[in-house]
Formats: sequence, C-alpha cells, structure tokens
Amino acid sequence: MNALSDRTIPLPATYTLGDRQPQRVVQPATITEVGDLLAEATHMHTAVIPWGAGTRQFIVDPPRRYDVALDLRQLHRVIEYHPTDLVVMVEAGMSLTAVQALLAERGQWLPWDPPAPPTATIGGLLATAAWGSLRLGYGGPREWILGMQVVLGDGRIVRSGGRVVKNVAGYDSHKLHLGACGTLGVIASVTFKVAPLPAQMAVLHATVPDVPSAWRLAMAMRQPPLQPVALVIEVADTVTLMARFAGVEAAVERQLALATAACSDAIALMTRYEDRTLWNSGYQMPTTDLLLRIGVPDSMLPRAIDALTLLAPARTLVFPGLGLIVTGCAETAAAHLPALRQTLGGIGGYAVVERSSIGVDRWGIVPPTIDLMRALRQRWDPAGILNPGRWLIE
Amino acid sequence: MTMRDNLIAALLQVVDPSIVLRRPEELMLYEYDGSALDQGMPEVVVVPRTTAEVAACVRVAAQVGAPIVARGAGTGLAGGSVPEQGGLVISLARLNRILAIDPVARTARVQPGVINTDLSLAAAPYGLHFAPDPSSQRASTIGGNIATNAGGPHCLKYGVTTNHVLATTVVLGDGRVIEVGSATLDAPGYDLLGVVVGSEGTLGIITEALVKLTPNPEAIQTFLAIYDDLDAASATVSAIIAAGIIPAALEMLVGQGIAAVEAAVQAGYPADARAVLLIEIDGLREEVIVQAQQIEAICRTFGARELRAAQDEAQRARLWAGRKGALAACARIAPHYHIQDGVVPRSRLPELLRLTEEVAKRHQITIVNIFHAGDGNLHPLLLFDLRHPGALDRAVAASEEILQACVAAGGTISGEHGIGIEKRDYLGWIFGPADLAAFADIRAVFDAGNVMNPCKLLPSGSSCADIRYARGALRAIDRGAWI
Repeated sequence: MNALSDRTIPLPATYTLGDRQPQRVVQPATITEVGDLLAEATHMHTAVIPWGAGTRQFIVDPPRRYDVALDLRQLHRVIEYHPTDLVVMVEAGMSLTAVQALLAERGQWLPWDPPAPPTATIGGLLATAAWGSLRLGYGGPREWILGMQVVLGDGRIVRSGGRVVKNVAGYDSHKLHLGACGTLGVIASVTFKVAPLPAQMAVLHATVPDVPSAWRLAMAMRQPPLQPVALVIEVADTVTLMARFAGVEAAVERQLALATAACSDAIALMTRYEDRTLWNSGYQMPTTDLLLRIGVPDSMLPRAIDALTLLAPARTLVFPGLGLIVTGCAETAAAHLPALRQTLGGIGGYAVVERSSIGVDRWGIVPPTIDLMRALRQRWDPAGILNPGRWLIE
Repeated sequence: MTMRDNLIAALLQVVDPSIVLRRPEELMLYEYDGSALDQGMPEVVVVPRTTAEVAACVRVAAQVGAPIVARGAGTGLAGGSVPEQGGLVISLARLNRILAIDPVARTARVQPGVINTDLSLAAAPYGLHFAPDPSSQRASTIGGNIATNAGGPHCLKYGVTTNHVLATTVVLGDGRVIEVGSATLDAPGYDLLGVVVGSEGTLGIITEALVKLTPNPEAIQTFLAIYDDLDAASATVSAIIAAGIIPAALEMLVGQGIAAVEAAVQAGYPADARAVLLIEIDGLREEVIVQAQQIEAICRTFGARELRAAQDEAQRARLWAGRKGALAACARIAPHYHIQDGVVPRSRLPELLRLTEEVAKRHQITIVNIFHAGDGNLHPLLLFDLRHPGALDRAVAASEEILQACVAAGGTISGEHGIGIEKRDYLGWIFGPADLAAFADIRAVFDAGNVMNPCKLLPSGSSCADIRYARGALRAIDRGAWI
C-alpha cells in the first residue's frame, strides 16, 4: 500500500467502527488522489471506508473488513458558483452548512435540511440519503442534483449529468449513488441547482390531544390554498404538529391565518416568523439506542403508526405527504421488528434500522431487483473493497 | 428462412396474430419519428395489449437476436424510436389506459400509451395536473415522456419528467418483468428508477408507471413582452432570475419565427418584433401579484417595447397556442427542418443567440430560435429545402457549430429531446471515455443481450459496431424480399 503515503494521518482510533480500527487513515487532497487510492485498493483487495465527518456512519453496520479510512474532508472546495445561473458545484467533503452559508450571502439556498450536525459533509449526507422535513415542499436532494463526479470502486473517475439546469445526455447515473452508502463509488463533487431564499418563513406548532386529531389537522393543512413546505407530527409525551410556510410575505401571512383557524382542537398553539437562514428544523430526532426509518404509501401512515405501538416508541416523527416515519425505541423493542415488518409489508411498506448497538437485521427485506444491483456493484467495485459487509449487498 | 421469417413465426406462436403487423404498408408508418433526418424500416411491428404480451414479444425477439425498439407516439426528435437496425418495433399505443387516479396521494397509475394531455384532463376534476408539458403533449405519451425524460416550458419551475415519476414496470431485454421505484419513498436498494427514466428504451420497455400529479395553481398571470433588441430580451431573462423569481415558464421567440407563428396561429405576436418573451408566473394570488409587479418593472427597465398581460384564460390560451404551435408554423418558411436542443448557463444566452444568427448567415440557412430561455435551453430550428443541393449538409454543419458552442459555454448537447441516433456521436464532446464506459456498464447490467434499442444513446463506436454490421446486412436482405 504505497498510494498517498504522504497523505496518511495518525488517529485511527477516531475512525473506529464497531470494534474495528483502520490500519491507516488517508486524507486525499484531490479527486485524482482518490482515484489512485481506490485503484490500488482494488488491486490489493484493501477494504476502504469512505468518511465524511463521520456523523452518519451509524446508519449501517460496522464493516466486515476495515483497512483504510478514506477521510474526504480535504476535498472541501467550491469549484464554481454562479448565482445568476442558480448553480453551484462543490467538492463532496464540504459541509452542507458551509454550502448554505455561501449561498445565503447571495440570497440563495439549497432547500435541504437533514437533521445532522453542522460538520456533516455533502458526500456523506448524499451517500446516506439524508433528508429533512423540507422534502415535502421542495423534494429531496435527488431533485436538486444536476451532476456528479464519482470515483468508482475500481478507481475510475466518472461524471454524469451536467452543469446546467436541464440535461438529458447520458444516463442519470448519479442517482444510483444516493443512499448507496458508498458501495458503488465515492462521491467526489456535486453540482446542485439552487433556489432563491423565500422572502418570508413562518412556523406553526400546535399541541393536539391525540394522533388522530394530528392526522386530521395534517390533512387539512395540505388542502389548497395551504401549501406547507414542511409538515411533521411529533409523538412523544405530547402530540404536536409542526407546519412551516414559505414565500412572499402576504402569502405566508394568509396561510398562517388559515392554518391557525384550522387548529380549533389544539390544546396549545404557537406561531412565529423566522429568520430565513437561522431557522431550525423545528423537531428533535430521537436519541434512543434503536432508531427506525419506516416508509409506507402516504395514505397508510395512520396504520403504520398503529403498528408501532407494539414497540412502545419513546419519540416518533411522522411526515405526512412523504409516507415516512422516524421512530426511536429502547433496544429491547427490536424483538418486535419481525412482526412490525410483516404488518408493514402487507401495506407496501418497510422498516429499516438506522441505529442499533446490537446485531439486528437492518433491512428486513431484499429488493426483488437485487440481482441487478449486485451486477452493478460487481462492475463498479469488482473487488468489493468499498464498505464491505455494510450494505444490502456484500 | 431469414431472421425476419423466424421472428414472425416465433411471434405468432406466443401472441394473437391480430397484434402482429408485417405488411410493408403497415410497417412504413413506423419508419420515422418527429426528427426529419432518421429513418429505418422495422421488420415486424407488434401492438400488444398487456405487459405479459410485451414480455412475450421481447423474449421471442431476443431469442432470434432481433433488435427491439419501443415506440410511443413517435413524436421524438432524436431518432430514439426509429428502428435503424430493423428488427421488432413494439408500439405501446394500445396500452393507453389510466388505471387509477388517487387525488389524496396526488398520484396516477397509467399505462405508457396514455397521451400526456389526456392525463391532465382526467386529473382536472381533482384540481391536479401532470406537470411535464412538452410542446408535443397533445400527441406524445407518458411512456415516451418517461423514456426521454421530457421537459416542457413549465419545467423551469416544476422540474422535468424524472422529478414526477415514482415507479415504473419495466420489461427487460430477456423478457423479465421488474418494478423499479415505489409508491413508498426510500425503500432499500439502489435508485434504479433514476437511470430508467431518460434511458430511451435502451434499458427496457416501460409498460406501467406511477406518476405524481401536481395541484393546479391558485392564480396564473401570463405576459407577452415585446422587444426591438435581442440583447435586451436576453438581459430581461437574466434579471428576472436574478430578482429571485422562478417563473412557471419563461419562453423566447426570436426573429423570423415570430411572423411565421403569427401568420399560422394569430396569437397576437407582433410580426415586426425582434424578440418576444412569454412569461408566466403562478402560485398563491399574493405571490402572483408581487411577482407581476417585479416583472413589469424589469421588462420596462430593460427596454421592452410593450408588455401585454393576458386578461383572461382565452387570451392566455392564445399566447400559448403561438408558442406550442411554433414548430409547425415554421413549415411556412421552409419544408424541412432540423431542431437542436443545446443548453447553456442562462448568463451565456446573449452570446449564443448572436452566434446562432452569425452561423445562419455564414451557412446560408434560415434559423429560427424558439426556446426555453429561463432554462437556457435553446431550440435553434434550422429550416431548409432538401431539394436544394447541399442544404442538408449546410444544416448539419450549422447545427454542429451551434452545439459545439453550447458545450464550450459550459452547457450540454440536449436539454430534453434526447440523444437517440442524432446526437450519439456528440456524446464524446461532453463525456470522456471513462464516463461512457460507466454508462455502457449500466446498459450491460440491464440488457446483457444488447437487444434493447441497440446503438442508441451511446456513441456508435462504443458497444454496437459489430451488431450494426451484422444486422445491417440482414436487413438489406429482408428489405429486398418485400419488393
């Protein structure tokens, strides 16, 4: 293992996953260096763990083999930013917070609000398919990515998409890397379409008696002319509904008034205009040992919430309009996973374990197209060096 | 027996003879698409009624080794549905049912042959529509829209087709039927749907789709801004975006095309204008009021001769009829056309428009620009008469020069029409050998037998040179047999 010996840094303990530490930590300074490293790793069958800020390594199992931690944080440059074209191209080791700060200087943003620490990198957030409540109004990052440069497992440096807002040349292969947890390649740079910051943002928090009334309220909030950009039901000791509106002042004001009027059942109600750049997500992620992400067709959310009672969750976040739930439970609740998955499977849903300290089945289901996925990984990471044993496919 | 005979015999064993078309006069209808330059005669056409029939036909054709080309309405502009290698064309025209509309989930489950406008009409009672709106929308199908990742004027604000597809049923090249994507978000696995959309029939045939429907806006305002100066019109486009407004649509028509459109459609475009902008804003009524004021101010600042606001739905429809009927209207200028689809960063529009005019002069050809200015998506329409010697060569040379300039400006060779046959050899202008090899990997994973729309979308030198040779020879024999 000679490639990038001068980029090797000490501190392997910081990069511990499960009970394993890497033999070395490499911090490449250029995308070409990432290519050299992966080409050599493929040749030597060295297991490589791509590493951003390490804030979401928990969402998959520790690796089966672990030789190199590939720390990408030196790839943190802005390659191009053209505010008048609403396009920004950045290296993947840059933090989302830094990208947002850059955009905010020009009155723009990427409407993407994953609940992650400020150090979390673009590459890591995309590889782990991180999303936030603004996905309701603006779609997820998939809808904002114009192009990508990726270093495939065998070291090939490839591009897809482009730097303009419309492009149909070639396959949209960058989408394959979203949520792939780095098992096809390492995201090296990303081009995003960006948006003007809304003139006004406001949030409404309503505490309601129970989940059914929260659901009814959420349905009412989605009726035109209301068009919340975020909607979250938080079920913990109390049940609250959070709705966020954005747009020109008068439109936000009217929506807020209509939304407030719909909250006649509410036990408590709070509305607030927000700073366009310093607002926070408005909900708290569960901090429990066991964290699940549940997906169902949107209309099935109430049934999914019912099915969850079995696990006695400490805190559940429900995202109406997206069909997604994030729930936190005690580790012992994992015993009920098979039953939960069976119920969810019956309504077209799934439950994925995003955090656990004991060895549980993370996925529960195998997609019927797994053979295509396997064939793709075989082509792009033929030696299986990227995150071995961490994802659906070995 | 020729390959054609084998193919027909095998098809007749697995599907109803009534869906198999083989007489020359039947086949001729499937020889071309909306592009003027590409043609190819299929050996057989099938018009299946179910996914199972599509799969059966694919299985048979793959066994015989015949290329398989899926076809919607044939309105494509890049040769994607043209059977240039002969073989089997699978028309999805009979798979034309809307299976379900879910107004609460705001989704529709459709067969691929459903016409784009028909879906929006069916969704209208629920206050919803299908957002992708290519100008061909009254003829083009949802399946074709998905296969080409179609755009349209309103994708400036609402996104292109890929942003509106949740799942598709796909028949692979070996006849297997798979489901990619899901009504459930973020299900475990790679995002295969992401590469299927826009794959131009090279990864499989879409036989069913679950698509998103979009709520109709509360308010809409449409403007026609009229300019005597081209740069002033371009500057207006940049200024609107810079003001933080994302219009629902921001279209430009330049020069001779305006008069042609006016003559054909009577949309109210002044024939003597140098450029017109069609600007539409939509959303909540407060938003539309605020943005309308901003747009009026910007248009005046940048020297619009006149700004007309549509006063009612009829006036709005007339303004749009001009834009959407523009391609047909230009038949008044010359009988043949070649349309380009390059994209540049919006800020580079003025120089590209100037270059287009200069190129037209130099190659002695008429070029009309009718395009999606807000996206930077140019549609230089090269007009010529094939009966004039050298006209086609001059058009192709002019077209390549414009596309190269788009690439040099940081843009791309196609914003929404696709690569097909027409632009496959230009792919190397924007992608390197490693990029193309990775695309070829995807194709090999989905279609190991290389039967699905072979030789399209990727450069002809890459994966299909051998096939082209072999199939070309077979086709020549078959063609001779029909005469």
